[in-house]
Amino acid sequence: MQTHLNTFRPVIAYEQNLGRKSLTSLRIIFFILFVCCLITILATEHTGGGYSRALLGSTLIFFALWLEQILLYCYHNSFYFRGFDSQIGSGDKNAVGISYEVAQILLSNENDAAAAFINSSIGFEVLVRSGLTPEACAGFLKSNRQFIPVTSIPLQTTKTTDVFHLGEYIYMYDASFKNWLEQSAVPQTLFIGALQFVVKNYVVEKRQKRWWSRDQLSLHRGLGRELSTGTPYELERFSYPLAAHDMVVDQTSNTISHGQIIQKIEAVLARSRAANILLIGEGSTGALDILAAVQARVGKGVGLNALAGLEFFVLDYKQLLAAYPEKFALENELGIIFEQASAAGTYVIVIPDLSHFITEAALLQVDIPELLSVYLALPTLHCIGVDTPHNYHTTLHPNDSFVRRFEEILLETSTVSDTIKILEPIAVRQEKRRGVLFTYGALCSIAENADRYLTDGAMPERAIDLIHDIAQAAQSKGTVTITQELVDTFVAQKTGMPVGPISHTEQDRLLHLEDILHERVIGQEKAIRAIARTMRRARVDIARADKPIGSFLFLGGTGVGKTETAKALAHTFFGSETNMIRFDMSEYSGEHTLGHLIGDANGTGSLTDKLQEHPYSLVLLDEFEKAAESVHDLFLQILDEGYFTSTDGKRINARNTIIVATSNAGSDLIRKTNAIRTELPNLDSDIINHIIETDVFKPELINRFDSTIIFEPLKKDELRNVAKLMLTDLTKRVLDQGYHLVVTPALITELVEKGYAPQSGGRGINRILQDVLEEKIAQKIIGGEVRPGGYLNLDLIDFTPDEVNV
Amino acid sequence: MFFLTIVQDYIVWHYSTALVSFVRLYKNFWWFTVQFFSIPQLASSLFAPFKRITERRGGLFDIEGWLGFIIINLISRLIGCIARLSIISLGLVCLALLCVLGVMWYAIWLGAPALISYCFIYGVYLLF
Repeated sequence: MQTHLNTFRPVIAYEQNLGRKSLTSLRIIFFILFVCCLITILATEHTGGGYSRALLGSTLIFFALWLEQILLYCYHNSFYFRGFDSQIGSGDKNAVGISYEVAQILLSNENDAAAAFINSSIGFEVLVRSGLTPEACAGFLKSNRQFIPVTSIPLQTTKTTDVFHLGEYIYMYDASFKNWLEQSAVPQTLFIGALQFVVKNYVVEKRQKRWWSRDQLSLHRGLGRELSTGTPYELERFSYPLAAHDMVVDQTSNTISHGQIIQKIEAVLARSRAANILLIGEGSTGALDILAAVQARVGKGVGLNALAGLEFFVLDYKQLLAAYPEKFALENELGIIFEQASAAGTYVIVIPDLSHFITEAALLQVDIPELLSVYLALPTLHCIGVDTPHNYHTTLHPNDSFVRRFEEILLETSTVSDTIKILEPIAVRQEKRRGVLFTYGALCSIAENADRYLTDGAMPERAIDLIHDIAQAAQSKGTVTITQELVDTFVAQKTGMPVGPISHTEQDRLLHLEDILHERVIGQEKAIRAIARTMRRARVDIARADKPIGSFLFLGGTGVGKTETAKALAHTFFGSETNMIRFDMSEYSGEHTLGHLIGDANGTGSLTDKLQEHPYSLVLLDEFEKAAESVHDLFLQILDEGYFTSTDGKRINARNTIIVATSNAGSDLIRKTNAIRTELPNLDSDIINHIIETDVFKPELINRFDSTIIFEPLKKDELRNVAKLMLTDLTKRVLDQGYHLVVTPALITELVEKGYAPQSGGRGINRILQDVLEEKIAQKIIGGEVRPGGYLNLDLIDFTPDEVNV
Repeated sequence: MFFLTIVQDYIVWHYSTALVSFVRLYKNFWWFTVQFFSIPQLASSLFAPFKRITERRGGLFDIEGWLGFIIINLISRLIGCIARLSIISLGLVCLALLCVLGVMWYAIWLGAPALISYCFIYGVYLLF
């Protein structure tokens, strides 16, 4: 290390005195002065007058200084870009060593590598992007700690040691640095991610400065290629080169999954015939990014040889349809476009939203599949259609002969880590445009929240939209640093879902969830406790993010509070009972009824529609045991993965829902067992075993639920409380009509006594309240026994025995 | 002292690493010039029709069609050849220029320290 540092010492010392920018300015100034002097000499010569010795002397001095600056520029660049090819993966025979930035950092403090790193501009940016403040950095530097001397840092054996490896080494081997980060809530993944992000940005910027390198020179389009290929003027009128696409990510951001797709695309395009591709994936941005990466590889000459010279153009079909709104004109123009592109032989026509193009052209009676079929068979034309699985199923798939012209390549939806990489260059652009700064945690949070809580559109578009919205909101509020907390607050406001740190109100609600649920549900201590525990786990993200927020199977007889508990949960977590989607599963008992839920040839399904309308809600599946096996299998997937695919190929997200399935299965056993025993230690497992043995639910389905909750039959005193709750509700309704209802305890006791039936639970009480009390109230109001604003006092003596024995 | 260290370090670099680096740099510019003027592509398709403009062959006894086919294709290929040759020639001129510039640059590079010293000292002498 020391030897390498010594190599850089003079040039870095020089740069410390005279920065890179000053070097450039001096070079320009001396050149201008030299040229001015030279012009003056030539002008004086031309007019016949003699130039002075001083002028000649100045010219020579400025020439010498300019030349000297050029040499110094070369000298500085030689060190500045040392090992850079190794860093960007272009290969370098003399790769072992250290990069200029590493030398610059380490030479600033040779006794303390961590301090050198923190005090450097790159290191400081890494820490700020990790979410740390300048004050926290200063505090750490002042603290009492052990230093790592720079000479003890080992070099990489096959590559140039760059800032990433330096940062990684300091994190791994400087215990005080690592502890400080951990105590500051910066875990290893966050620090390494921020480090990678900052170094990548730096490399991208540095790469552009090296204009003499092959990768930069290859960006220039050559002369005269069209002499051999021809120019498709009409295509160029209605399309744009792929490289100019706004969303194209920087090539350093390419992910592993993209790499495999790129290889597949290249292999298909290299075919001699029918080299057409149909890219099927949610959202077109990801697909265009991948194609841009293929174009970049072709440009640099690193792609397959057969693809040399290929140019990708994205057809702007909307502009084309607007320019030619008549059948014959459009057909003629399309013919010319494809004819010219085919004649040129080196063009790849990319059609985004292929099915939209087909359907919109069909409105003008233009049959695009038939029109294109001729050209798609030609070896000189490549066409790439981009579409979503939904549109593919509805529009393209039925046209078998057209689809057969294409090789179908399925694009996986971006994973969260892929999305973070896609967001990185976009964040940099937004920072420049809006004067904000994203911490790396904020980027992670944007990707995670977009994946988990936003449902409109596909990934990574959802995340890209979110980053734009957040940057705009931050700019308008004058916020400079966009942190993870800011992102969480923004998403929470946008979706109404509790995201990020738990607020005081929410903290209180979660800690006292049992009490809140008990305000509406009487008894069922065990069940309520189990639900509350599951929901608390879900909120602090201990539970898996790729499943619904919570899923419960409520088992128990009629009127024990299953539905009421579900309503209370919906109210607590989603703010209102209206955020509860209720399905009577007895309606889905036939095998053919699966289509009613997820859609079929006749239209979309009810589950699909409702989840799209209310993505944040409680899904109540009443009488779940009555649903067909295929419906059970559907929920097996939903409970496990948090999504399902509708018949038309659309991916429906159910990860922001609480799923509650209720069932009467085993209720007889629950009642019997309860009658025999007062304590029920093994009741849960007995009931579940009984349900499995009687084939009501498959064991794997029961296991998919977060909790199977047994609702015990209500005891008499509990039913009395249920009655009181119902009476409170009734009193409110009567008050709304303008009367004050007062019911004596004696009457309540009698009604509970009459309404008590173990097999009907609270329903029996509800029924008797309706039949006896409501009937009496109605009689009194109609009979004019009570005036509006007056009191309706009801006691047992107001009823005849027949009236109570309903 | 610092100045002397820099000068010494610089001189060593100037006559060792820099010379090797310039060979690599020179190769890049050579590659770029060849690619920019599409010399291999144009040379391999030297007699191909201009922008692939061709006339279709007429029927067996359609003399007019045959003549049109022969004449148009000949003209297209001739124009194509001239256009390609022009660009290839321009490219070759640039390559020749690059050769000359390369040699000149090397010559200037080797003598640059001496040239700078001479110009500077002589300039100061003339000035005062």
